[in-house]
Amino acid sequence: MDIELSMVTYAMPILLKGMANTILFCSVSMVIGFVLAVGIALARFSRHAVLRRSAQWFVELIRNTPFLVQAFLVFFALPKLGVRFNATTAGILVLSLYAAAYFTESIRGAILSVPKGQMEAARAVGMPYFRAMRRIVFPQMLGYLLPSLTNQVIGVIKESAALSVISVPEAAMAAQVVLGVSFNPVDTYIMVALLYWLVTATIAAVMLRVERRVLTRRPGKSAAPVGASAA
Amino acid sequence: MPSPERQPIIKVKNLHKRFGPLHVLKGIDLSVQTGEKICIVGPSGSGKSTLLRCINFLEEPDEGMVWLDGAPMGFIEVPGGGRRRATESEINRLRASVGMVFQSFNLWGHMTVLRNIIEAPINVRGLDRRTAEAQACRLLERIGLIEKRDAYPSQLSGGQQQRVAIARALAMDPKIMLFDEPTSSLDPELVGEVLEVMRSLARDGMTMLVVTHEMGFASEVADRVVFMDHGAILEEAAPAAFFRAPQNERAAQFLAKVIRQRGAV
Repeated sequence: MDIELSMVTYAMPILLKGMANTILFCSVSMVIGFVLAVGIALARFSRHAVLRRSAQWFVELIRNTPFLVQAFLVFFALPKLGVRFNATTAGILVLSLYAAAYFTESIRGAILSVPKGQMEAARAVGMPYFRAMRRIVFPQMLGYLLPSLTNQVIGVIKESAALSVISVPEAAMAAQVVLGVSFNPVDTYIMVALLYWLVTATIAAVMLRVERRVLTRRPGKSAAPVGASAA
Repeated sequence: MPSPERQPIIKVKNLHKRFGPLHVLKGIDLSVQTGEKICIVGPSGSGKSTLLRCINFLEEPDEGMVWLDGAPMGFIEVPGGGRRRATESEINRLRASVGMVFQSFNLWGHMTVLRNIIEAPINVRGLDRRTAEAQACRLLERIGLIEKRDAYPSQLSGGQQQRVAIARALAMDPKIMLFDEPTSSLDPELVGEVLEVMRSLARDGMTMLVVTHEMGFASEVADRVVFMDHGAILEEAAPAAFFRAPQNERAAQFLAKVIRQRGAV
């Protein structure tokens, strides 16, 4: 089995265009999702039961249903309620919600990884809650947050392929366009897989470097202990 | 007896706290005058720490009230007998005047010693950095750790961390200092240096509320010893009287047990 060159020169521009869209749509969705997730994660720790429950309910709802079904629902159900989007907007919306739910769990876990006493010491000197979160808890949770966030980011990118079912013009959709002209699914999907792999592997490598920088910047408890391995 | 017009700096009235089915505080009443040093002793699980944490509202009392220098902490009494929660900023304003030292130090791990001490003065009090640093250095001189100003908490011994934690609390210029078993998680040889800092604080006239198992410290420094068990105050007495002849039977049992384990007071 070898991949025909003419096939590559024909298909690659279409697939690259699709992958560029995938990167664009995922980036927008993940930025929106992250902002939502910070709020929802904080709501999970709220004094008010209504906020806590709503936040948990949202996460459970997204986590316990297939992304494909969520995409169909947003695409077909919302217009019936009088809300009209084009496919791309619907896709970004549903992907944002999906990212928000998974990021929320990462952030929640990371907040819990910081010993409770850190927050209490900040509250005891009269520091307002959100300032204490920002100045005391957030900086100390990064070492825990980044690895799990990397997984979620990669998960969102892979899951975004399902948006092709509602005709969002992303990479998996581009593959179908290519197939419509030259029927060669094996070669086409090998190229698509390679493109996804390139993007996700790059992200993983970059995030790993960021993690290392965060962890070695200071002699915190998550870094190698000072003076250890002296022998 | 303090004259009646002198307002206590801490007043606790009929304080109740429950954790689920557990009734941890069962109607605590306590008054502390400015400059008084109170040591709270008692078996573990008696509610000592919870009482301390209710005073600066780290725990929300279910019933009863705490007043700090006359200001109600955490709740506002409404006419007709009810109460509602005070605003966050009011709670924070009162907390800023109460220093707290924790059993597990709780120094902020991502900040140097100096940064730990200037963090709240700058970000809560609104002090400029230069003033805050000058003050922090004076405090570090006082606790004998000026050479550690750029170290991180993980590079310090437990005793050093606790001394820095005391300096961090003092940097807010508190009217009251609460100590929640400040030496209980220290190796025995490190207890002395922390108690020494606390003694010097007591000599300077700080109002101190200390939950401790250090009976020697209590008998030496306290104006009054408060014995708690099962969520209630069972005895309040001058240390000489308390340690020589406790009136309450459970206090006597507790002291006998402590003395058996740790030697004479």
